[in-house]
Amino acid sequence: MSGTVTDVRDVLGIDPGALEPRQPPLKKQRTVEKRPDGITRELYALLGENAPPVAVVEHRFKDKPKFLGSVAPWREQTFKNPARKDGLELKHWVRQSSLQETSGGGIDGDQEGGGQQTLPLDYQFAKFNISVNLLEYSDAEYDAVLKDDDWSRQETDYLFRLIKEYDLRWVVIADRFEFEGKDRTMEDLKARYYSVCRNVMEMRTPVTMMSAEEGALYSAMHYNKEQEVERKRIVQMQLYRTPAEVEHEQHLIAELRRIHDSHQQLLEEREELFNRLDYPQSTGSIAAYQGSQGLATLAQNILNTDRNKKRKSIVAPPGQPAEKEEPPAKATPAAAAAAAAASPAVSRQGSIAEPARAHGHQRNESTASASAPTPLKDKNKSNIKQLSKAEEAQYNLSHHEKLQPGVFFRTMKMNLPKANSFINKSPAIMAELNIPQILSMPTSKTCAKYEVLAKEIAALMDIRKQLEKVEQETRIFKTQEAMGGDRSKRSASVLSDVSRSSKRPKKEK
Amino acid sequence: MASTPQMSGVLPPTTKPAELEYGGDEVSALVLDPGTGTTRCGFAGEDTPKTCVPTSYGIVPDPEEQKYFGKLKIGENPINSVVEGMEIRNPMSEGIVENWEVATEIWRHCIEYRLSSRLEEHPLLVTEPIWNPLKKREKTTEIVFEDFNAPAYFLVKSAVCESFANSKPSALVVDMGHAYTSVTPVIDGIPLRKGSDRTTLAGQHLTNQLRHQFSEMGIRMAPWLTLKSKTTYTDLAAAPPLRTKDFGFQPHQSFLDLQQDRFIHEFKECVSETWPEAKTFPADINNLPDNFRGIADKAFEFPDGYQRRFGIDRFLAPESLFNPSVSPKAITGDLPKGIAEMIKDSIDHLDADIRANMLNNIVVVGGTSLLYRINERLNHELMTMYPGPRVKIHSPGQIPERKYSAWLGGSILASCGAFHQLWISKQEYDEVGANIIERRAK
Ligand SMILES: Nc1ncnc2c1ncn2[C@@H]1O[C@H](COP(=O)(O)OP(=O)(O)OP(=O)(O)O)[C@@H](O)[C@H]1O
Ligand SMILES: [Mg+2]
Repeated sequence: MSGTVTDVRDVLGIDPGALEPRQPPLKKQRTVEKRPDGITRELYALLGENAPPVAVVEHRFKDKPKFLGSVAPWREQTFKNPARKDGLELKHWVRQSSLQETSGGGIDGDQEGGGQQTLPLDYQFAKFNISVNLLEYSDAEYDAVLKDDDWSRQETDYLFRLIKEYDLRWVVIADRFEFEGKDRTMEDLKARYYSVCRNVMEMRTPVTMMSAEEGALYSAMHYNKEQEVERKRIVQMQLYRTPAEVEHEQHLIAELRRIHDSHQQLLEEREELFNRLDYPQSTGSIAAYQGSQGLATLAQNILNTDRNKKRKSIVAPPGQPAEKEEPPAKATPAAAAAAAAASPAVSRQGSIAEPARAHGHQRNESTASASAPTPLKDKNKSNIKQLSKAEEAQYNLSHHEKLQPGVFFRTMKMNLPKANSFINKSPAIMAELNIPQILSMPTSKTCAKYEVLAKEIAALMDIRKQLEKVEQETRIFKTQEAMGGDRSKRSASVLSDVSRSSKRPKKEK
Repeated sequence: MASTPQMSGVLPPTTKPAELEYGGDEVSALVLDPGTGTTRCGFAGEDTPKTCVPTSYGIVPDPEEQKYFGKLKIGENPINSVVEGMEIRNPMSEGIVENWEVATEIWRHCIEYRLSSRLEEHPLLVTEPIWNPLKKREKTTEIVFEDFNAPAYFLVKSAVCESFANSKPSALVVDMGHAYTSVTPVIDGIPLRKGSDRTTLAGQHLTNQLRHQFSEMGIRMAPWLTLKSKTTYTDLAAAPPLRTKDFGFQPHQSFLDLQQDRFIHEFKECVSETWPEAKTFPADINNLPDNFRGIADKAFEFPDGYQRRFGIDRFLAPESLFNPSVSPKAITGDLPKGIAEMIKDSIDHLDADIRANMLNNIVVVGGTSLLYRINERLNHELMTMYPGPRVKIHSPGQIPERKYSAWLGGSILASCGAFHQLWISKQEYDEVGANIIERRAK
């Protein structure tokens, strides 16, 4: 965890009261906004910057649950189902009040007098009694267009009866179809049914006269038996693949996806390259820059963009010194030197404490350093002892232009590659190299080395990937060559075609 | 209907749930599911049958008297009490009713005695196996309307109920019961004839195999009821003498068999296990390869006090369901197909378009499907048979739901508002006769 403000004050030895107390933020004037209709209170509370609702706890018993209305008796009631023709009367239990409501509602006037003998006629489940609308043919129609050598009138009638009974569920119809021991497949049945339908439709209204709806139905009825048989054969083949085939197929799919992806990437990269090679073409007019003032603004603009670019590029890693004109400041080493000059016992502690703080090096000693007297820079500036490089190294002293407030681990500040692939794969490579993931002694030197190492690993990974890709491509081309030079040539030309076409629109712009 | 007021949470007891929400409309129907092992009966709309009576009955045959109804022993207690000369019989054969007088009595016993309900007041839904012939269906219709005087009645295939109970309109239903294991493809609640199949590799077969296996081992199969006390022992060679009760007569062999079935059933429940993989069961269990050594033993105590640890031999009888050639007791005649092969044959009979769907919706129910790891085995067998398409076995996790799936589906059906137009009414029966069943319930 990073330290809080008070931690820092502690470390610096500043009296907690010295700082002026934070001004409490001005109380916002609470405006009671009107809640728009259609939004529940809870939802609305989540939307705005409202204070959390305050729960008022009262010390009393819970309210009695409020049931709606009084307890209504239930009555066993006979009812008729209009979906039945025989008038079977069954009994079910109905709540009295709902009975009154419905009969009072006047759905069926004559129920009033009879008391609660029967329910209103519209039994709610009767509406599920639906059946499909099927085409029917007359004798004349049959004789005119439906005669078939293979199908007798009786068999056709039987088929249509079955279809009506099973609501066009072909699987069931084919299962139940039994006519004089004939062996009919589902395709036979379907072909007959659809041909009958089409013929009858055509006879009733010639194709040219059909309305759009009829026409659509007419063409939907077109049934290609051979195609269906073939399709089912393929479906069946699909079902009985061996495990090896299944595996092979999955492998092929994965491979295809990979090839597709890399191809896509290739195209993208190529496009990017083209974009880079194309010099930017001016689109606007240059009239604005013709005067001397215009030129000055242009120069200013270019300078600004330049500066922005530079700034971005110089977000230097923390390990490196920032680009500033001042040479390594003297203030910090001076303070350290002062501490070193003080009494041996204290100085030892101080000298560790100081660099520790200066570094943001938070170990166990940091707590000790908090309590240790911290030499203040200004006071001791006069009696500074200049340390040599070797001494600085010995005390693990370093110079910083600007210190980040708070305490933190140095390892947290390391500048490691951020790419996912690095995060995922670097542990394995580290293990390969016999380097522990976590630095056991993260001094600034080791950290710097570690960063360099990480960058190299990232580079290594990149190179490996590139190599893999290139190898893959060579493999593909080799196989293509093996499969026939002709085809490889063609695919190569396709590739260049694609790249050309991807390039063209850019040019036009 | 009444508009139900807007309420959050649980409805107060005075408010009726919106009907169309669950589509239920209860007409206090009864549901009867007669199986070879047990006959189950209860009120439609409930989730388990109120009563479950063994279908076996006891009878003391009297050569002089033709009518023996007074002497029928029906129910768990009567058939398990020792009565001189009492024989145990079963009115069902091949999963369908053979002895109508007795079956009628058992059904009447369930409804009038166990449920205390009046037959003529409730619509009655009865389940039947898919292979029930027309004659039997007409006979059932006759009994329900003539003897029971029911106001309305319907006969559904148990496979359809089982697929409904697992909330599937289309499924390949595998029912592993007592006498039969059956496979039935169901499409939109309609069972298909082609593709349905059955085999006797089920609970009874398993019981008989185990009985044979035990006697081969030299175990004394004296049932609890005939023993005065037991002394535990583990060495068969040094078995203490049996201390049997003296009834003053010898109970009938069928009665003793029934009593043996009881502890064999317990063995099935606790010790038997299905080998979870296809084709890897060791051919010779006396000469086990090294990689089979780690099989966990399970102990079982027989009624006479004999304690034994069962290792690979507890897999043997269940294995015969899938691979009949390894049965402890060699099967005479043609070797039947194993259960998995039967399912495969059934699927191969179906239209190519629905096969993948059926494989994805295999519903496994019935008492024998409770055999430990049987679904795992089934899954493995089917996956090896069909490596391409997705194979998915649906089996209720709750034991009662699996045992009483057929009943539960019937209960759902008979309490469904849209079902009430299907009932065959007494009036329709009077008009058309018993043949109405063929027209209305195909
Ligand atoms: N836990 C269990 N383990 C193994 N077998 C069991 C278990 N529970 C029940 N069984 C067996 O299941 C069989 C009963 O199954 P079920 O009740 O489904 O048959 P049924 O419907 O009466 O008969 P059928 O459907 O064949 O006419 C019996 O043989 C019983 O031994
Ligand atoms: Mg059953």
